[in-house]
Amino acid sequence: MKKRILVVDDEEGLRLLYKEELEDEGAEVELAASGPEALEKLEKDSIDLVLLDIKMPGMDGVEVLRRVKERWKDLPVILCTAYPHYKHDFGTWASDAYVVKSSDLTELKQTVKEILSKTE
Amino acid sequence: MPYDIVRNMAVLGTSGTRLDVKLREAVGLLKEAFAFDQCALYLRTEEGRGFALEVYSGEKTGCTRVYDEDSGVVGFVRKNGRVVELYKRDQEATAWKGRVDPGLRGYRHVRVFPLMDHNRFYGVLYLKSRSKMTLKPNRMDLLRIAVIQIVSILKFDEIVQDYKKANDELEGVRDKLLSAEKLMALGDMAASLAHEVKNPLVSVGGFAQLVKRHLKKDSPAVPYVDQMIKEIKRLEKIVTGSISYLREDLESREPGDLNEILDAAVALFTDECRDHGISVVKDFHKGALSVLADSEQLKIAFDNLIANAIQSMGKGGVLTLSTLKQQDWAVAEISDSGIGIDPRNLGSIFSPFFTTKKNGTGLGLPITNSIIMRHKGIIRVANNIGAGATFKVKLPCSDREKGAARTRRMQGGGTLPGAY
Repeated sequence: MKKRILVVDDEEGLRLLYKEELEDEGAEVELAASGPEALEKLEKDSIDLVLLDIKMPGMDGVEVLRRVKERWKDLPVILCTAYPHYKHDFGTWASDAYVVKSSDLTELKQTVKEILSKTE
Repeated sequence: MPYDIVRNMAVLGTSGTRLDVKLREAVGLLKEAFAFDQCALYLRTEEGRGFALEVYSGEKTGCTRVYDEDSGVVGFVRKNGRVVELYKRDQEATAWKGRVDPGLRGYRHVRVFPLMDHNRFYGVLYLKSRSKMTLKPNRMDLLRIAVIQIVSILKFDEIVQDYKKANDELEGVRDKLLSAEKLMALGDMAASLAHEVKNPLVSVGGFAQLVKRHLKKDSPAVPYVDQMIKEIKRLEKIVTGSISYLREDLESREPGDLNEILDAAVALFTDECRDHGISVVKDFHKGALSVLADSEQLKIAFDNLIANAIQSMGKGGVLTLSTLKQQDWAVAEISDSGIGIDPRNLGSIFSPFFTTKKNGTGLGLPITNSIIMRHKGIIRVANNIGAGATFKVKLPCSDREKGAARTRRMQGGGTLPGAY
C-alpha cells in the first residue's frame, strides 16, 4: 500500500516540488498551505508522515507540531526549515527529524524513507 | 597707567594664541610693568619630578634649566604654597638661608611665586632684580593679581587640553561603534534578505533538478540545467550563511568552558589538518575558562577562524590554538604560519561578502565577528605578512560562583531559565 505524506508549507513552489519528488519516490502526497488546513486534513484523512515547515504566517510549525503530537502521538513529523538553528528550540524536540531546506532533496528523501521504514 | 598690566594680561589670556606664546608675552608684560631684571617661568616636567624653564624675559643670567621639586627655594615655595621674597646682601651668593639655588647668582632681590590653584601646582615664577626693589602695597597687589592671571592662563590651557583629549577619545570610540553598527546592520539586512530569498531559491533549484531528471541523458539542455543547478547551490550556500547572522540566532546562553568549545571546534578539522600536513599545537589555560555562551554559535565562530587559518597555509604549517585568562577576559588565540593578510584587505575582512577566495562567500569572518559581538566579546587580528595571522577573541569571563548558584537554583525547580 502506498504511504500517504502530508506536506505543510506556505510556499506554493515548495509544496509542488515536494509533491513531485515524493510522488516520484512512490508516495501519495497531500498538501496543506497552513497549520489549520493541515490539522483539518489530518482529521479527515489517514496520513503516515507529516512534512512540516516551521516559519508560516499565523500558526507556526512549532505550534502545529505540538497539536499534532497531542492528538496523534505516534504520527511521525519531519520539520523543514531555512534555519539551521531551530535545532536548539525546545518546541522542536518533539519532532522525529529535522531537515534544513535545500534544493537538493536527497537528505529529505532519505529521512522520509528511514522514518517510513520504521512504521512498516 | 597702574592697571595696564591687569588689562593686558586679561587680553592675553582670552586671545587665541598658543600657550608658550601667551606665557612668553606674560613674563614680558611683568618685566616691563615692574622693571624686573629677569622674569623666568618654570613648569612641571612631563615626568612630574621637577620644574623646567619654560620662558623668560630679560637677562638669561642665572636661569636654571631644571629645579628639583623638593629642594632649594623651589622646594620651600612648593611646600608652603606661599610667595618667598628674599634679599641677599651678597649679590653673587647662590644660597639663601641655607637653601642652594644657582639661579640666585647675580641678583639681590628675588621674588619666587608659586603658580598653583587649590588642587594643582603648575610651576614657579622667578622675578629677579639686581638691586633692592621695594613695591608699594598697591603695586604688590597688582603683581599678585597678575600672577593669578598667569595661573588662569595655565589652568585654561589645561582644561582645553583635557577637553581635546576626551573629545579625541570619544571620536575614536564613536568611529568604532559606527563601524561595528554598520557591520551589524549590513549583516542583518543580508540575513533578512536571505530569508526572503531562500524559499523561492530552494523551489527553483528543486525544479531544476526535476527538469534534469525528465531530460534525456543526451539532451543538449543537460549542461544548461547543470549550470543552473550549480549556480543555485552557490546562491543557497550564501543565503544559508547569511541567515546565521540573524539576531534571534543567539538565545540559549549557558555557562561553558572556552577550552572545551575551542577543542570541539578544532576536532572537526582533524582529517583536514592531517591531509594538508598541518600540525596543531594546543596551548590551553590550565583549568576551565568559564564563559556565558551559546556553545554551538561560538563553535561556528571558531570553525570559521580555524578554516581560514588552514586555508591560508595550504600544504604544511602550524596551527596554534591557545587560551588564557587576562583579568576578566577569557582569551582564545588562533594563529597560523601562512602568508598573512594583505594589508590592503585588512580593513575589509569583517565586511559581509568581502572575500579573496575563489569559492568564498565572504560571510565567514562577518558571522564570526557578529557572534563574538553578541557575546559581548572582542575580536582582533594581528597580522605578520609572510609569517601568518593571529585572531584574538576575548570573551567576558562569567562569574563561576554565580553560575554555580544559578545551576543549584534551577535544579531546585520552580524558576524558569528565562527569568535570569
